[in-house]
Amino acid sequence: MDSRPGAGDRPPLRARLVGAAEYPARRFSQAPTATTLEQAADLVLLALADAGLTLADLDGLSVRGVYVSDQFLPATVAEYLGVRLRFGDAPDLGGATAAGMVWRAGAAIERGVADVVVCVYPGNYPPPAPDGDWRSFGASSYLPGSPQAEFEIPLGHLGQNVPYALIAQRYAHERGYDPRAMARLVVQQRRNACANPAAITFGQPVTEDDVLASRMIAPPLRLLEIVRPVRGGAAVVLASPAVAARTRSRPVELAGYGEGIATKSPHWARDLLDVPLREAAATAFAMAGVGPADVDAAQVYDCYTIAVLLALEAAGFCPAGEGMEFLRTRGFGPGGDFPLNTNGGQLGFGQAGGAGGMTHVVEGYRQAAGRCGHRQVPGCGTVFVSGNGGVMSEQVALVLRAAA
Amino acid sequence: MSAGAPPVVTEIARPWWDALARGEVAVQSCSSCAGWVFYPRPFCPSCGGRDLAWRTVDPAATLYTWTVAEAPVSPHFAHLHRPVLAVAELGIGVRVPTTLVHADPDDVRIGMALTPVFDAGTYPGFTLLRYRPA
Ligand SMILES: [Zn+2]
Repeated sequence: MDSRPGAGDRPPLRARLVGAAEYPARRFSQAPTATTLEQAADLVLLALADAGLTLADLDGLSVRGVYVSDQFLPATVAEYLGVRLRFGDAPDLGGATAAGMVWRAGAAIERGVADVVVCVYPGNYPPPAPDGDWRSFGASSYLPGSPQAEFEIPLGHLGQNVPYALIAQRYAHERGYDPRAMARLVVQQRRNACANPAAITFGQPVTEDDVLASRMIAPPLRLLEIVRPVRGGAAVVLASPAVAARTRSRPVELAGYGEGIATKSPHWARDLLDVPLREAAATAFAMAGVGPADVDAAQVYDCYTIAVLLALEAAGFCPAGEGMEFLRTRGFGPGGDFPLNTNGGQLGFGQAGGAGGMTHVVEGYRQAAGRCGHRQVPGCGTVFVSGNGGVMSEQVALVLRAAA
Repeated sequence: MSAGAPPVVTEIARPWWDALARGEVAVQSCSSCAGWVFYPRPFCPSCGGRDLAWRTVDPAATLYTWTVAEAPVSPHFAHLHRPVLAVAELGIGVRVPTTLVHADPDDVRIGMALTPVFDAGTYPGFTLLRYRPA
């Protein structure tokens, strides 16, 4: 017998998102000097308070971005907070970590392992590595035994700009490319950011010509198509339906989730354009019992414009090869026909390190909870959220739904 | 900051590097499914077979995708001026990360024919497989 929650004739026992906290994006020079451990604790307390809960309710933590240690993060934060936990996690999914935290926490709650889990990611960057240290190549591994250290880095294949550009060039070859459509995506997200005082680009709209005139970084990708690093940090609270019933705001059901993982570097993908969000979104939509057409808003991981384009196609919001037309014709504002990255996304908000993925989760929660104020999508019941780690390497999809 | 970053070679891939030093390209072939395996591994990721043999193959390739690092990819490579980073596809279907030399970015096209350039001058003791337009 299938004992999965929601299977057979058992009622769904999906976990709820019940609260969130997010630091405003800050320039590096204006960032708080608190340690990442202090910030993690602060974000946990802020998120619990937002939900109307306290530390006494907390029995699970999912945590990354605490750079006081390379390991034992859940215990490190639990000790600092003075709590005993029944669930701890520290997923390793790059930019998909936040979304991956959320579904793992949700699954733990659904199985009764924990009742209240906070997923927290202080949005800083690890301290710079000394010259010669393997970490000085950033997200590319120069450790012995790493295929990157043997076949990629020596030739200069590292970082994010080049691999994403390699994908974009291949997209252009196979499906066609429209730089102005990509620019229009940036323009609309920057417009959304102008309704979000927490965004680093608040009050700084751009035009399509601005985007097309910005510096070429790696053709076809230009500077304004690439996220800008900022400091920040965010947390969300998940709770069992029973606990959610006594929280402050309208709970949001974690209706569906899925994950897809393929290659660390796109060089080794058989098909550069067939990204693993395809499987992740299909799993999430099937679990939620809805399809792409039922979504009222989408918070799509947007480290680069090409990442959004491929995500829209892979998740089924438009057929493969029609993404450019989608970008040319759809309205991405809160009142548009496809509200997308309504807080500005990372292209507008800024990318607070690994917490960048949490930006999309927080906005997805707030939209489904009806808490977005003047940028609220009217009648927003179902929200799609995606995470993307590495270079379309590790991808997660969530379907959030205003709880009945 | 030292220039570049030499390959960190694994034992399993030693025949790849030895072949390049001879001006040849060698790739593993799977005896179970006849598939080609690259990068080198002790097994075939297509079928799981463990009986692999190194074979010398035609190094001519076509361009699968490419870009230009208009901004340095890292301080280690900041000494390079607009390197053309590419993925080349060998006739056997195997793809290799590489760079194009003697290539004007304005003339680069996906699908163009490429000729191998065995570069023994970048890192002492290593030969890299680069390409130029055919
Ligand atoms: Zn095989």
